[in-house]
Amino acid sequence: MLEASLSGLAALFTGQAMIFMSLGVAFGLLIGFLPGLGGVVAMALLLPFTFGLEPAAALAMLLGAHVATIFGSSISGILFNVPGAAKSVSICFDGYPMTQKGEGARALGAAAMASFLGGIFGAIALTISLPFMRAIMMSLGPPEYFMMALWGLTIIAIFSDGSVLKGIIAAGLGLLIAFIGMDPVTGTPRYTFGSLFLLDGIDFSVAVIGLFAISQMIKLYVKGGSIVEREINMGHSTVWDGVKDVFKHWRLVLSSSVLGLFIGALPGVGASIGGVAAYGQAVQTSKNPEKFGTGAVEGVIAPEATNAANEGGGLIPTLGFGVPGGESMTILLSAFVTMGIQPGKELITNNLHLVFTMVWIIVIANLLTTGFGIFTAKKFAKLTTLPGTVLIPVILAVCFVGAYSVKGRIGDVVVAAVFGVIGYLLEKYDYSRADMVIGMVLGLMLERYMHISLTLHGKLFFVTRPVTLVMLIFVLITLAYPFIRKWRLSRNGGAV
Amino acid sequence: MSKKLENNVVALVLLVIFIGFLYLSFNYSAKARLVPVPIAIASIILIIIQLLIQNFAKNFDLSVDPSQLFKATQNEAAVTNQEARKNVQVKKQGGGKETTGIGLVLLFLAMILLIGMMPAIFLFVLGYFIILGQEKWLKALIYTAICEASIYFLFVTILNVHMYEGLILKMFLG
Repeated sequence: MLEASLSGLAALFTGQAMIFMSLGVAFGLLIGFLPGLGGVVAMALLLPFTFGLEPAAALAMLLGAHVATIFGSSISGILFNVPGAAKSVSICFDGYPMTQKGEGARALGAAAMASFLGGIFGAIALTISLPFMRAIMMSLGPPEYFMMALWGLTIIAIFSDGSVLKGIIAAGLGLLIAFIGMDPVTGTPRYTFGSLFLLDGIDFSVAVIGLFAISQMIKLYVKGGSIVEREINMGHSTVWDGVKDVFKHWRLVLSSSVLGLFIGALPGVGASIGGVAAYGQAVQTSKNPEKFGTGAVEGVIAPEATNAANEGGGLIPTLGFGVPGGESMTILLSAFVTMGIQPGKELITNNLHLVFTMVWIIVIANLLTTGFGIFTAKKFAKLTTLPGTVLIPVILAVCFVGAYSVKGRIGDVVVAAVFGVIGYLLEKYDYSRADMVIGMVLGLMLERYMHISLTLHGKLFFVTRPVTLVMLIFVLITLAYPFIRKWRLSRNGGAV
Repeated sequence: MSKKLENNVVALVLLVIFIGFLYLSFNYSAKARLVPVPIAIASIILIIIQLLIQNFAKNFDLSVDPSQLFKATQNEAAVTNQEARKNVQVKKQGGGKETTGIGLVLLFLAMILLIGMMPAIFLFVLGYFIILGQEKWLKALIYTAICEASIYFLFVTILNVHMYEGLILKMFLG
């Protein structure tokens, strides 16, 4: 493992990898600042640039950008009360009151250090989990992987925003779309209408660009943009005051990181939930809960550490089982597909150095983001004054060129536009886009393992194998638990 | 169109899509349709339930609040009380119509198909800045030139992507 770790680190210390990571971090900070865009959009926009790059450089750019958006969106939340992304909403509760009191620099320092430590914690937890993941994976067979994919779909539908039923319907649509193209088992062209273009299936990365980036631009056009007009009052505090605060509240950093890690490891649970839960935890465990909302530094530290640790947690099911830990992880899986990397057993056993490369990326990207973010925050924050009318045409152009450059086929541009409209409509009518794309990712995995399981273990493989049966029961409990809890809550009049 | 009608139209479109998948599945061998058929059938059943719920059982709430599941670590009142965003000096830019938003994406797509990638980007971005962004000609032209040059540099120079020329040019050049 030590050898793989060193080899993973060495892969990053090439000119190409470091340049692309720095570019990713800078781009992530920029996208993070801008209200309405987030880590998923940043990764979707960068995806076309990863084609043809070395895996280490491509992953450095993608993950680096994603890590940077966390702190980037917190900066605009702290300074202007306009979070760059939904996951940073809870940072505004105390971050902005701190800015109002003239403690903006302290809040930024605390956020940066909490983000750094949370990120490192996530990376360490990912490393520690590797031997366990390896042991678990070696003991699992195709029927268990089939159940794992099924569990992934179930839990994603449960935790997605809005109705569970709509979540499962969106996942069903994604699954069916995944079957478009050549059937890998029989070689039959399915749902292609005789089109050669569709024979290759719908490209994940193109669909992701449409579903997340183009649809977001339609949404931004309809909603209108936000332009921050406020002058920043950085006041009398310093960044180092915030850094010291983080070390003073090390227990809070630790508990928030654990929470972030746990939430990240659950497939489909968004970081926004983690931030709010961490804030609630900080309020409950604080000696001065009445100070929350008036500019308590703990209110900045807790959500930031949770959001950062979430990344390492999200990578655990993504790398180990090929079940994405969230929206952004589906984009990472798309990148894996393009690079020919197979998550799961193959990645953990034969390409362990790549896993360690990702661990190191989280560490180094956090370091770069913290350093770069603290010293440039004030200057970059002015970008929040950029109107939506400038963003929309430029990002649309990048999306279309990006979709085209995936394989150099004009049909992909049409697919991106169609998925952009579909994504907008799904979002509008509360059918989760994330569920749909995760359905697309898991569709072929489900089908492949189902065929292998049937061939090896017969039609009743899900009841004849004890582990598979236990997993099936677990899937059913996962599906039923939130409703049972809800029913019990309503029966007891809200008391747990 | 009322919200209820819109929801029904979306659900019906999804129902048609799922039925389409199911119908097409029966053209394939038993092995090739083994997984798609159950998924299509399950999706049809679920969308029919969704249609019934949204029309006849509005109070039947199937949403799960994930934060509720982590309630043991939450102080809900403390969280919600902080959500009041006072003194935010943010100027909201008015949005446009939904059909225009979708239309713009489709217009851009049509322009790309007809005149090719780079000319379409130039015309769309410039037109957007001038007409919808209400920028001055010169400023809009500078922004557009920067955007066009950046895209050309990143994709054509660095990534060696050969840009699509468009149907019109293909028609003339063969």
